[in-house]
Amino acid sequence: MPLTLLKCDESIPSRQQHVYIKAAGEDSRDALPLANTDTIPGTLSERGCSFCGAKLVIGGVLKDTIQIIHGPVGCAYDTWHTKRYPSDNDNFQLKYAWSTNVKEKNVVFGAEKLLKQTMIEAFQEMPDIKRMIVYTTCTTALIGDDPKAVAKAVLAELPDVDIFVVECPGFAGVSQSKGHHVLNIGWINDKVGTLEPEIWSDYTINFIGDYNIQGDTFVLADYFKRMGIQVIAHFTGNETYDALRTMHRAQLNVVNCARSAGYIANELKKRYGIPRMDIDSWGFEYCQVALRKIGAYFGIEDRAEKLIAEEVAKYKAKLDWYKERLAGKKVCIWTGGPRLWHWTKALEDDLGMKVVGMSSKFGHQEDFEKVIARGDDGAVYINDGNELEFFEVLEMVKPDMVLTGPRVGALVKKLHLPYINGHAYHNGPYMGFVGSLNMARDMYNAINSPLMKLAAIDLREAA
Amino acid sequence: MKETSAQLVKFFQENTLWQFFSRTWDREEAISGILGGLETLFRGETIPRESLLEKAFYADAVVTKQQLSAKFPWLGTLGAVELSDVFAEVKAELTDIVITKSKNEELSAELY
Repeated sequence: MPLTLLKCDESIPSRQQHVYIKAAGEDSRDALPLANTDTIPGTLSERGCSFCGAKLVIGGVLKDTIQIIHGPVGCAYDTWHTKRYPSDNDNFQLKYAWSTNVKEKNVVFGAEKLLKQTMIEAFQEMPDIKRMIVYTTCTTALIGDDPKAVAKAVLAELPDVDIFVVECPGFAGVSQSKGHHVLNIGWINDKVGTLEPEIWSDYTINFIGDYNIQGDTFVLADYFKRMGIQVIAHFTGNETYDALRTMHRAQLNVVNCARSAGYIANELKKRYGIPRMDIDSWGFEYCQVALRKIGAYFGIEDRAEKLIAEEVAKYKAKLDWYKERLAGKKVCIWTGGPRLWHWTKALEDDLGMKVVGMSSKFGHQEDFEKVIARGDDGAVYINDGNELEFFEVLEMVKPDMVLTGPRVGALVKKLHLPYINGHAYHNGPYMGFVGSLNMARDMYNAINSPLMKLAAIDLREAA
Repeated sequence: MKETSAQLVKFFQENTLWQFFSRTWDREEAISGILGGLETLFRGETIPRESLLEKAFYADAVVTKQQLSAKFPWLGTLGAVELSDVFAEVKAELTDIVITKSKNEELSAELY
């Protein structure tokens, strides 16, 4: 079937280029939705802003770094509390938010003095923290502040600190994806190669594109430790600023989220000759394949097999219990982009579920090539979906549950459909073997909870 | 395309991520390196593992060979000429899907 115009989109026909229903025998040569393009006027996008992509998704995860948000205070709040990425140092990055709290007078007279004062004050208030990222926002970009010049002035006064500046205001791109890009390229240009790591293993990797949502990184770090592999830098879950400066010394880039961090993997290959190995760190079967490939790369296949055997013995029977009960259940995945292709086949292969609809907020066409290759016939694939489209697709495919974020989740709940938080998880981690089991448990509980059915009863009528 | 080759193309489309690397040159390099390595391994020969890139191709090829051998046992019965024909067809079809006729407008962007 070609790209499809949903009924709700009849007044904005250009949305047809963003919706695809896969027919049997088709592949991405036949149709590929537009993606990473401007949101069309008339559609209510669920996207985030480009600043958010840099700060909330990637930079803000670092566990030892002051994150100065140069803008109105709301920009700080909205990129502080909505992701749950813990750390092993008592969650420093979740406890604090920093903002220059720009006001109208700063817009009129400039905010560089305010920025400098805030940066110095932050270092003084937290004398044990010596690393900082400064982000511009829409307001301070528009008034022409020069945060790199300010950072230089601060460095002259505080020579024992290091500062990275991300100039990516919210309007820099069409979605949060631009923020991923700007931070990736800025980091490799400014910081990679400026520090040497201490190497303790013959087997070194960078793990790229995992942000320790509810402890994903802890799961993966445990696997690599058991295999004797040193993670030079984890981009950026539970990681330090300085570790990311040493990424040039790894022997392999293992990439999970290719959308948010494929850029730095490509640049590390181009500039330092470190190859890129893309894997799925979600999914029970996928994890086995990923660990085998990493083991084969280093010639430590025996360690990979031992780890896999231990994990399979621990979790497979429990996963199969859920598989018996989840088989045939229909799911929609409405997340950012990569989770569509990471999850669709994993849910089908591991649990026998059927993914019937997928929507991406910030994916590129590369993501749609992947998900069309992996996804089922008959499934609906949407780029930058809006609420009316969601309602129409839900009516069309009638899922048993939806994997999505709290915003769309609230919409779904109004229809008395269960949703599981596909961004920050319900009860994660969801990566690795244990993560697959956690995800299956959460989906089982959501589908079988009586709550949604009870919520649909009008007590006035019952009385 | 032969049915046997079509089965392999479907497997690669559904299971591998290297075919979808960011740019045309990345995809060409991965398809050639990994499919070439696979054909060599199925012929019973070894593939070089000197450079980091060769190790990466080897790792993908050797694990994919395990998967293919389990799923398509007929692959193990093919002679060198037949293997060459099958992998040539698979390479041509994958190249057609993810490069030549790909609608991905970013494939030819000069920068990452």
